[in-house]
Amino acid sequence: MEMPAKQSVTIMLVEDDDGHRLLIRENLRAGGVVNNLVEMADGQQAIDYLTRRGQYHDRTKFPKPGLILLDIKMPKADGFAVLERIKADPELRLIPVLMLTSTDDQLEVNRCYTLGANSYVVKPIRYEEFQERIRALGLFLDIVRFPE
Amino acid sequence: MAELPTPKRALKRVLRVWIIGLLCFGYGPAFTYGFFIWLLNEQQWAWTYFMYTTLVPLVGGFCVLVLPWRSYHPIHHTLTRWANGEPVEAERVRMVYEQALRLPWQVAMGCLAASAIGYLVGTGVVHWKAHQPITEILKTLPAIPLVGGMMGAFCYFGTMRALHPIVAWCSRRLTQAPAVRALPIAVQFLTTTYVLAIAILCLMLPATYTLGQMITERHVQDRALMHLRSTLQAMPRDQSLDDRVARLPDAALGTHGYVFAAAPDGRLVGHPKGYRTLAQEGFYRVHERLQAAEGVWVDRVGRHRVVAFARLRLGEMPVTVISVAFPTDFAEPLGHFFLLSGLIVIEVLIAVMVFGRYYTKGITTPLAELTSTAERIAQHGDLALRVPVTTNDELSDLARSFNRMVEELETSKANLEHYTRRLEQSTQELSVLNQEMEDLLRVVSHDLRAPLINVQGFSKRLEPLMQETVQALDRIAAETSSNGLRVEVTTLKGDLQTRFAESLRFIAKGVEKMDTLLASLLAISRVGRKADPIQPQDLAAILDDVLATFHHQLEERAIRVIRHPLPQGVPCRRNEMNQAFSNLLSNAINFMGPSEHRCIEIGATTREQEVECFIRDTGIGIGPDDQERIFNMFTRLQAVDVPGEGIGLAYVKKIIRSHGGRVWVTSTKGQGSTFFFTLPTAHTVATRG
Repeated sequence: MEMPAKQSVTIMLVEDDDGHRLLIRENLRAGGVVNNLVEMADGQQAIDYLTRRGQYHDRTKFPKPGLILLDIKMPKADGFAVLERIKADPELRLIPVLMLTSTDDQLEVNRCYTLGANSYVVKPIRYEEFQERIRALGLFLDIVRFPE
Repeated sequence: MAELPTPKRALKRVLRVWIIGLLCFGYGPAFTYGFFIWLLNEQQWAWTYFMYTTLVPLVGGFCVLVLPWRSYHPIHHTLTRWANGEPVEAERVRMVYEQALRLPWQVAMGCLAASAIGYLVGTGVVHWKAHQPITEILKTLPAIPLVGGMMGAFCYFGTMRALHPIVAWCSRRLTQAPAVRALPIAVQFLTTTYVLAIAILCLMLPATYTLGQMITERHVQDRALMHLRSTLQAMPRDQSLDDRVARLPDAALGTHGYVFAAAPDGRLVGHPKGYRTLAQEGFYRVHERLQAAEGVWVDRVGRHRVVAFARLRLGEMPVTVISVAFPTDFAEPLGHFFLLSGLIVIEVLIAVMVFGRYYTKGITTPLAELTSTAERIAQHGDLALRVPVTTNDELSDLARSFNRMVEELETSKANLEHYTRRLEQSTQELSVLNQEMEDLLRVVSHDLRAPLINVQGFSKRLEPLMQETVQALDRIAAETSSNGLRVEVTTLKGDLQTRFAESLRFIAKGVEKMDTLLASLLAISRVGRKADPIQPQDLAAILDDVLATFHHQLEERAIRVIRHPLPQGVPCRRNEMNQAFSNLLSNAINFMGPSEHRCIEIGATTREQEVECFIRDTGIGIGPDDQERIFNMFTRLQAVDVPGEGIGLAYVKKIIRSHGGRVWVTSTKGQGSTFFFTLPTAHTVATRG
């Protein structure tokens, strides 16, 4: 099986807080991640994108992501709802999902795993730590195989 | 409430009943019977007297006192042991209770047995020593039901009354009094009434019989002698002896009576049975009686007969003419009297049975209604039920009291239900409020973190930007030729390096503090969640872990730690208890103050219900006004330069409360504080379910 090029994988970032979105994007870039990054401001938009609904019907313009970074607390549809939707869809269920949580609450983490998330990242207050975590994702992208 | 009588007092009460029963209801009727037998055969009075004064009391007394004593002895023994301070065990109380309820019946049976045995022995002696015929003895047989019945009935009720304090005391001690089989009230009443009726009849009938018999005897005696006299006088003097003898049957009285003559030498003439000598007739002390010229007596030895005699001179030879008459030939009125008496007896007994039944029904029917109502209430809890009040006596008072009690119960139950509902409502409201508060706490602490991340992130982002700007300003200052610009740029650079950097530092510090605060709030909101189960823990091991984290701080501040043993197997959430110890220790360290002998003492007292832990410090102490307040959230006592958000003790309080314990502090300002908290033991947790 040929390993798909890192650049060919589209990363979807679902995060309602635009500040967080900006910080995550900058740190990903600083970590050497040059992949195509699709940013979604809420859960419903992400679901629409993934299921090619409305304006997102064109797959060539809006490619299927190979990795999803998913915030939990969001308006309209929260991270759990999006995760459930992804795991229920046979077409999408193989996409790895990283949950972005703001606390390491054991109940929340357990729920993420129960619903089928692959991993989780706690958004830390200490900026350096956060930087490290997001940049580690670059490394992650190097070693993980993504489905077609 | 009545006390348990002393063994001596109880024994006195019981013995009094038995002795009165024996004297008044045992010996009293027995002497009546002795008198009766004495009347029946006067000649044997000495033996009768002997029997009723010695043998019957001896045997009867033995039976009445000694036989029940064997049944009473276990009660007396147990009462003595209790009086000596031995423990009152439920098993013994039950034994005494049952024995005391059985005793009256045993005593009554003993009385009956005693009278039967005493009677049989006594009459046996009379028969043996005085040749009293069995038929005559049998006439005194009613003595058994009379003496036994009266004595038994008295001793039954007397013993019951005497033992009542003991039975009542035992019954109050027993949660479930055992059912001792007893006779129903109707049977008790009928038995008692019958016993008394029969006893009176037994006393009355033989007495009246004897009286009737004596009247008959006197009548027959008079007639026999008169008839004999007139017959002899009517005989012509010139007749020959043989002629005269041939006319002797004219003097006979009644259908079975006969007359014969006895010569002075004892030879009999004209005896219808052909007896040759007087001895063959078997009259009692006949020669003494025949000394007189004429006479009459009642002979009870052998056949019951009246014997009259008179002299008849036949030439030179005085002949005694003897007439034997049988009172039974004249007993027809006596028979009628007995028939009448029998009818009266039967009527009395039937009347007793019928009225007794009516009377006892009047008692037992309301009682049965009361019992069945009480039973239905106990089984189905239907407090709407009432007992019908059908009479106007003590039983109706009982029924009314019962109804009032049920009414009272109904009201209390309704009140209880009302308050229980209100309590449930309030509890539910409170729990909803509490849940809302916790949700709010969690959401707030959770959501406040998101903007905080931005504040921190973007302020950090400014740092490299500032460095770049400083470098750019350096380059501008180096390359510009304008002095004014250089001064301006250098000032700006200075501002950037001091004020700008300082602003960023304060922002970072503020964010960090706020983050800690939010983390604490979040932790408080999570206390008592199901994810962390309660398990038996070794408190000493938890303290070990906590002390290890404070090791450096304690050493640095020269604080001595005194540890007392802490219990094992205390049901709690390990992480939370860790946090609680940690917060309390951190407080003790932070508020240690300038004391010379810095010391923290940790220990516990284990009781059946709970474990009480204490953490004592030699710190600055807390004033009495603040000792409650410090457990509230965000409470920080002023003028103390110690880091913290005022959440630590609120957190401890929440943890301990979620375990079902309490937390409090005792303190003297300037001399240190002691924080206490309790945790329920495994025993308490198990009983609470």
